[in-house]
Amino acid sequence: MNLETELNGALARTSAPDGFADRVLARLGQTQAPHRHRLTASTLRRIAAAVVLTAALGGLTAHQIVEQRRTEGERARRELMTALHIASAKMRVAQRAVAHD
Amino acid sequence: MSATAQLLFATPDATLQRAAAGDHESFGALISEHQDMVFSIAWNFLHDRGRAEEIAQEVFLQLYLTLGEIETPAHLTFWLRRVTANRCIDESRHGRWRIVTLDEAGDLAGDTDESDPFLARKIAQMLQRLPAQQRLAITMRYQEGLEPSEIGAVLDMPLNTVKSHLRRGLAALREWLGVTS
Repeated sequence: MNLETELNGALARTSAPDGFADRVLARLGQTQAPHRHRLTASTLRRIAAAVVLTAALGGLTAHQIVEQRRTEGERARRELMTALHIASAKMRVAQRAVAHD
Repeated sequence: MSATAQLLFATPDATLQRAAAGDHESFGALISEHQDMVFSIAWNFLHDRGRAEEIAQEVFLQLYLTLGEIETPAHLTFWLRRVTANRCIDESRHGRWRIVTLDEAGDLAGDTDESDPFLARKIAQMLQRLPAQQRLAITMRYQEGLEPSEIGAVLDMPLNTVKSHLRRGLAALREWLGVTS
């Protein structure tokens, strides 16, 4: 026996059951028909709204970060100026004491 | 992809284009043209007509949703073979296919006389004992007449792996069927 010859016969294509195509087509009625992905007007509106919302939230967050940094910088500058004033006053006192002696 | 395959893939088809545009009649023609191939792959893999038809139907329903991506008739045939094979593998992983017991397989393997009118049926049933990948490789080789390189493309496996599956599958069948050559 030649096994490969026998396999050709044993595994030959067999006919699909009667009415197979009709049953598949009947099931298509229960299936959505998105052959190709199309962007509908409502989908585009949703995408546009999402983009605008994302941009607005991103801008707001960025503004808050910049404002926070500006406030912190201003406070640091004031503290530095106060420290310089104190140091300057102390220097003048010391200078006067040295000149008096 | 071979040069021949590229040439085949470049051939346009009006039926395919109409089906992709939503024409059910054209899609029905595509089903009629390919249903025997798809059903037979599932049948030879599962040896269960009900499950084979279920898988074949699911393959064509999936095709309907994917038609816009199918470019040529050759591409369609390739796609159908690959998706059917994948469905069969999924089915075997879920363990819903009919298992041939060793006792049953032993009875089937009793007589291998060439004149045995039931030999083809025995071979097909013995095939069920093979691991899924070997069974698919042998089905693609002897049902579809594909070369090992083509089987590798359909089943997405290296050429040497395909050859190994074919060699081991045939050796197992020879042993179970008592074939000496």
